[in-house]
Amino acid sequence: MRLPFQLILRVFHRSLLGCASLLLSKKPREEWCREWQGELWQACIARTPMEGFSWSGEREVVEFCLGAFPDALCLRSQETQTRALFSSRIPQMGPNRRRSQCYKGDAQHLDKFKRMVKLCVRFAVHCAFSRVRRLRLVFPANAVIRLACGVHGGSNPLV
Amino acid sequence: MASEVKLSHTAAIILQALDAGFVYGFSIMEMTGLPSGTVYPAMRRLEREELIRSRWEKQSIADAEQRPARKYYNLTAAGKTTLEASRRRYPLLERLIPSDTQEAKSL
Repeated sequence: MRLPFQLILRVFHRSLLGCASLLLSKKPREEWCREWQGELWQACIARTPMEGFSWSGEREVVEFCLGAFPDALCLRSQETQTRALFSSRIPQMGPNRRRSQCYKGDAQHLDKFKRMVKLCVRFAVHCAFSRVRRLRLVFPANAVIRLACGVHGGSNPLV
Repeated sequence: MASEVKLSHTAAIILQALDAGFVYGFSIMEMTGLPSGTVYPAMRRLEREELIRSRWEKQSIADAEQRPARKYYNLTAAGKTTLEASRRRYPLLERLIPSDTQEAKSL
């Protein structure tokens, strides 16, 4: 007979798998969950005793469930790669793509990169010059006030 | 093309385990001692490379044994060729997991 605590742990295991499955898109999720639940059943049978309770066994089952996260991430990255490979927005070498299409895609990316670099340089130049302009505007005014007040070397004005 | 694929030691161990008759994820974990976070992603990559293929067990068999259905994996022709190349690369592979072990037969 299973203890209530063990039942809570089973729910916890399932929740871990459920959380990991959220990393996947809807399409492969169902099959992935089915496979992992089957494997979880196997892990529970192999690691936990039929009667009584074993902390080490339960820990191993939790460790097993935590392995679902890298697996889901792996599947997700595979999906993303596949999507990128066949997407028209990012043309890359693939079974149905011509070399010219890839070059065209690369040229587009290079163009975007160039535009971004240009913008960054413009911004940097603008910042630098605006600072110089500000200094040029501020410095003469300060100098005039200092001269008028008779300030020398940062000491208090002699009024 | 597949014969040119150079496998990591982990992937080679998994292929060897599959060849030895350990045909589902947990049995491979048990045999190799690798954690689930290593075995399953490696199997996804091997499947993507078409070195292994998967199939679902018939529900009737699973029902008869009162357990959830398993997803079985087996080597493709390309996988067998790659495994041969890996055995040459890692000579201890076969000693680590001998082919057709009794343990696998009992599963």
